[in-house]
Amino acid sequence: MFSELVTSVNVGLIFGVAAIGIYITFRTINFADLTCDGSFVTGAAVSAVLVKAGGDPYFALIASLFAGGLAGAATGLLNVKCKIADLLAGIIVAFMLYSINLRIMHNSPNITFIDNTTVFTNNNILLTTIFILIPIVLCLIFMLFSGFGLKLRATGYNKKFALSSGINIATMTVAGVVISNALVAFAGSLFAQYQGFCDVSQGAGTLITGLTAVVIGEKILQFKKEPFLLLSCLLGAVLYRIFINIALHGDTLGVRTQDINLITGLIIIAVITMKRREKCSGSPV
Amino acid sequence: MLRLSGISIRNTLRGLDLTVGRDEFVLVIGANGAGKTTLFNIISGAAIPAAGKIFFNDRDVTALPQHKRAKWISSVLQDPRQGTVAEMTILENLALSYMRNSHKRITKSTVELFKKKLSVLEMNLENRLSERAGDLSGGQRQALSLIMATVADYDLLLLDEITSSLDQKNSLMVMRIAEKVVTTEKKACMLITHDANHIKYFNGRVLEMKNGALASC
Repeated sequence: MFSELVTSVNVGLIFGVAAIGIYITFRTINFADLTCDGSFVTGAAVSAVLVKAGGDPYFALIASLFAGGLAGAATGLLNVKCKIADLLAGIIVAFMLYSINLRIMHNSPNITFIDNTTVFTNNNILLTTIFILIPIVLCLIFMLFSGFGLKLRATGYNKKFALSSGINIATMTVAGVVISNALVAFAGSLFAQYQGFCDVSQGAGTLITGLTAVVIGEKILQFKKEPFLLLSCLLGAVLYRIFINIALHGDTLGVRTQDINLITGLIIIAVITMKRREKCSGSPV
Repeated sequence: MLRLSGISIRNTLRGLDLTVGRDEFVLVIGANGAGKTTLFNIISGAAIPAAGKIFFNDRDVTALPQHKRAKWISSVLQDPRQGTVAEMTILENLALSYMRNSHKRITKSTVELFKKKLSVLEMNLENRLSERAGDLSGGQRQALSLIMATVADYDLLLLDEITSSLDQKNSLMVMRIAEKVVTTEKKACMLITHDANHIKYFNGRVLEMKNGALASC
């Protein structure tokens, strides 16, 4: 039971990084980005290929950051240069990434590298994840508090104000999508190393699970200072994993693995609806 | 300093010419729909004219996007909800405006400068820097936008119907603050209003906008 809890926390933290990425697009810059279903696999694929070839697993993590960032740059540029709507730009890039991911994986739909040295080999799994996450989260919090972070957030909240304050909205949008997808790919990379396995279709649903983590986190940890909301993304992701684990193990509930998508969808609908209702009742009409 | 020549845009502005000198105060009045806000957008870069040229300090800026013109042009918008970021604190709003034309860092002395500027308002905002701008009233937010518009260097201040979404009491207060700001800053300023009563607050050139062209009055 305890070891299962540790596993849930660990997987939750890994997906928490993806949730932070999704938070940056959906909340900070207000850009509905669907690239992540593809960039998650890109990160996993880069990691799988590099580790399998005997490369340094930490280098593989950093390489995934760049690969994901490139995917994000494609979506961002399609949006600001070709004027393709955010949703569509993300869908197109995620669609194309399927082919690219297969190329990265040398045309095989899955790669097993369970015998190769990953960041988790001979280390405590949970502690390793935490040690890897700490610098990333600190960098992000620092970034969001900096002048650049202020501009990034202003772009999402109020475009008209941003423009009249000399903020280049196009640059900020691309920067936000790049950072977001770099993080999502990083999560994919870490998850692949954790599993010792990468599958070309494992990215499906990254967005929804990430978004669920974001809304659960926002509901539970209501930080006043926005940069700290990143921590609530992590907590939300962990809670989501624990919840799914409990649901799957309560034999009395009769929940099966294939029901996860349905349950996840219901959770996200419930939390968003609760939020809307609170907002409506709170504001004077 | 600012020169518009032969500006036309669809049916709103027709071959408009205008020159604003350094330190000059220009008040533009006109009925709703006369093209005042369009003129404003043309100057700030939010709209691109179909014909004509815009010069700023003798440099052709017609094709320069809005965010680049923000270096010299500071503006206060009609709606206080657009002129400030509701979700950010008063300090963050001021910091964003302060960084408008440079990469200056926010230090303790900058915060002191913000406090000093805010104290002019006599609204005690200087002691509420960590509160969200969205928690302020419409009048307070508009007053804050006026201070935000002047924390960084600028050459031209654009005030577009800054009281149109406020009640009478608040609009009186915001106009008084605007007058105070304009007289202490001593920089070029254009105020657009449909309320001829606002003329009495300021000394400067008054222009009337009619059918997409300007006439002195």
